Amino acid sequence: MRQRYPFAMRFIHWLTVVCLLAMLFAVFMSYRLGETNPALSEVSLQAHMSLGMLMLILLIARLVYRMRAMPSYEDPRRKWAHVGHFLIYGLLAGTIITGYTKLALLGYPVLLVWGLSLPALPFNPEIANAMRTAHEVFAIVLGVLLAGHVGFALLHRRLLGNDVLHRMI
Amino acid sequence: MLKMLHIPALLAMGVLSVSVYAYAAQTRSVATPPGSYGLDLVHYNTVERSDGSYRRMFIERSALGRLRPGQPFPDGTRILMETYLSEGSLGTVFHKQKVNGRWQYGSFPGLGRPDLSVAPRVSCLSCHSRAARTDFTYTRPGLDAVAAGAQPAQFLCARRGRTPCSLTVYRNGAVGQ
Repeated sequence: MRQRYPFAMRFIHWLTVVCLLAMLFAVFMSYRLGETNPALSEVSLQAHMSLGMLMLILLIARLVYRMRAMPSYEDPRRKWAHVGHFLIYGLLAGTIITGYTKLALLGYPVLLVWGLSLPALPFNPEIANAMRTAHEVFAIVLGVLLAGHVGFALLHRRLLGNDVLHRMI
Repeated sequence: MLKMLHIPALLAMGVLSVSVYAYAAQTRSVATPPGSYGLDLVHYNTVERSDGSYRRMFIERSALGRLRPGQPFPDGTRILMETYLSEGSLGTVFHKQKVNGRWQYGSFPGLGRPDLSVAPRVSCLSCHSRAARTDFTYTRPGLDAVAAGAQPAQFLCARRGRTPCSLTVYRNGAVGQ
């Protein structure tokens, strides 16, 4: 019988995927609606930020769970998979944190769609701009790594006969 | 059987007609540029885009009089931007006002009732932070030029839609007239 990751891990993984796709859609809509419907554009951007915060919570939950409860699978290639996964985790956290700071450093609380808000930081537009650049660079590198992550999962499934994808389904 | 198709066909035509009317009402041309909204405004820049859209920039006359080169905008300054999807087709009017040393933003449909309320909108703040060196105002060079007596400049930002150009484009546009 093939091994699968615990349900909680699979749930966190796929919920993160859904959040990521919804977050990309929200920021796309925010851009598209900016000229014709600025109010909805603003809500879309708040949804983008809210989903980012949700993903950060999911990431922390994943790391805690991974350290405490994940089973060990013997595989010589696993070391490189680990490196890739932790790079993705790091970039995910970095993208979310720079996304928050680039706005909070403009001196206003960052409003989320659930009526919550994240605190403002001391007004500093220079660092805010650096954070904006970092947010964009991290997001692009993260996209490349995620494409590689999906590609390797399919490669294992289709060509190498080592169906690691099954563990996560 | 064909008779049964009449009802959905008529419904579809109705929906299509309403959609076309709504779109036309949203983007219909205006004979004269509005540029007032109950305020005493001065037109200082027109920024054209490569997709045929353009924006007309205005500042309140009283704020223009208080503007000093190299200095941040004084509190209370209000700037408006009319967006045109094509020649004469007014879309949204965006505006911002300086409140306690920080910009706050608002908008309203160009052909609707002017709404001059402002708030710290994230979508506006995040984009305007790129222009931090000119007090979060891309067209500040154009404003300084008009304040010094120049005619309103009209220039091209060769990017589509909302993507801002580099600050050099706005500076060169302001002084190149």
